[in-house]
Amino acid sequence: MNWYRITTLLVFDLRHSLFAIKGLFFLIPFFLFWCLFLFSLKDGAASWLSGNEGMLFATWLLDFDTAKSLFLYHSPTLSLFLVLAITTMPCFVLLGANDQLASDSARGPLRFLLTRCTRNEIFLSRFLSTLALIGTAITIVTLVATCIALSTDSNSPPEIVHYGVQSGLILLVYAAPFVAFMSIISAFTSSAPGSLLAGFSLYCLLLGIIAYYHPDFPIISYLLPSATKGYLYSTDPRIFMSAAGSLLLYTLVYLLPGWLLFRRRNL
Amino acid sequence: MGELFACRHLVKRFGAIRALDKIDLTVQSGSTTGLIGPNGAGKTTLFSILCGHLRPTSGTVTVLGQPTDATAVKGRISLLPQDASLFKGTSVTSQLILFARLQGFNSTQARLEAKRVLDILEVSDLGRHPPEALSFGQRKRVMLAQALIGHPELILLDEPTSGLDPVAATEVRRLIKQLSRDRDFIISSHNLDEIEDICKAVIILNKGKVKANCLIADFTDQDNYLTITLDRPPPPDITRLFQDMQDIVRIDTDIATREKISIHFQSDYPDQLQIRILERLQRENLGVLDLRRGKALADEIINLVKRERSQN
Repeated sequence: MNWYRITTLLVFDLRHSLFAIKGLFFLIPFFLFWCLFLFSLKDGAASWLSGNEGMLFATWLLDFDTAKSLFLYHSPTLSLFLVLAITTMPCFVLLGANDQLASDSARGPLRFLLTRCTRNEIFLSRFLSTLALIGTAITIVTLVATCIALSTDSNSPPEIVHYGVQSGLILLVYAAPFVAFMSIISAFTSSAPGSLLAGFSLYCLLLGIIAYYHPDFPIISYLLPSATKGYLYSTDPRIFMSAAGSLLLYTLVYLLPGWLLFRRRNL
Repeated sequence: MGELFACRHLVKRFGAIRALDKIDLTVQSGSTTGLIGPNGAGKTTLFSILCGHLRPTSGTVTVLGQPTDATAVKGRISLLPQDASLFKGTSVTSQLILFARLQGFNSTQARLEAKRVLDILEVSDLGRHPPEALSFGQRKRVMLAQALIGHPELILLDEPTSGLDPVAATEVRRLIKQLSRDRDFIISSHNLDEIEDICKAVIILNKGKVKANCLIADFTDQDNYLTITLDRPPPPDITRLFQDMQDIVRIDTDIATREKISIHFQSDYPDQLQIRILERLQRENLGVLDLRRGKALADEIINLVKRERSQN
């Protein structure tokens, strides 16, 4: 592996994505969604969640300890942002990561790259550039959410900034396995729409399998990284760290079949 | 003289179709090689395997002594693909700079290298445009430019002049000839005149099998044949015209192109014989439009394919 080539490809692909359909297809709905949502929080609407009614509503979605930790002990604006970001993450990542390799594969520009770099370098650089694109977008909206929290919430500014950084990191780590999941799909499809469709179908299929078999086999929920979601809100650092560790493991486990498929496929 | 590539028992299947069928082929460096054969012969498949785009179904391939996906071979081989497209929405120069950087150039050197190859192909003014804004011929020249980045040791060109206007095609052929002095080219083309003009050696593929891998001179028997294109069909008794020339073994007229005659000779002084033949034709008021030593490559290929078909 030549890291100079990986970095060169990563930077090019990141810049290229910003102005190409594959990047805009993710960036436009992502920023539109968060603009609308964060705009509605600018007057402190999230503070309602730290009140009695809000807590009642929150415990309907989360367990009591988690809801208390999120909305009483931390900035409610950032907590609401974090919960919604984690919930919508698979959907946005599927949009942003579906075309890591697909549309460039069949008679596409990969042919010009393959005489200059190995398949491993291409695969890794595409994964990292997609992660960087999604990571940059997450960082921007987390920054905006933190600014709103600073202006609306009663928590101390250092606490909000610290929680903002923590939320951003959680979202980045949570996005990685989904990007890796899409690398599997992108490694065997030959068009972006095909990859998107296959990605959504497989994701929905796995959700269906989990929903059907979960009562009898609870362990099946660990087919998808969403199973770690609850642990990411934990205030216990050990639980949080093991959740983050398992997400990295998910990333590696998902990357492996994607890499094997891409190594063997005809381009 | 090193080995450019070697295939051992190479098979590539697409479903039930065997695009390459147990190919054993070794090509040495030092002479520009043409890769020819009818449609579906396996030429593009072979190129794609050499560049690592396709994985062989079975068998082994080495390029410049290395497996096709080895890091050591990257940047030492380049390809002008027949039908691939560059990145859309990004200027040609940016893409050439990317390719140069991937071949180890730093940022400044890569910029200069991109300019150099665009200048060679006389398309410097197209550099700021994205590929989709260019015509087919312009894109072809840009893609040819990318194949020249970084002085690769082996350049594979798949139909390098198809779609180019005659002036550009001539210029590209001249460029290939010039560059082939210090690097190796393998050229796949249906234009057999082009192959004869540029290449010294030829590989003939048919139905996924290698039918010939030799020097063009050997294949067309250049020491014993002369192919002449006249300005009109020769008289039926043309053999009588040369009956006093003992060195001439046989004269064949081409059925498809009646103006073309093929003279089989065995002479220690072929140049003198050639002059005598031309004088004789002139005396009979037969104008000579084209003359080449050896049998016409196109005729030989057609005969080869016909023989194959009749055997099957």
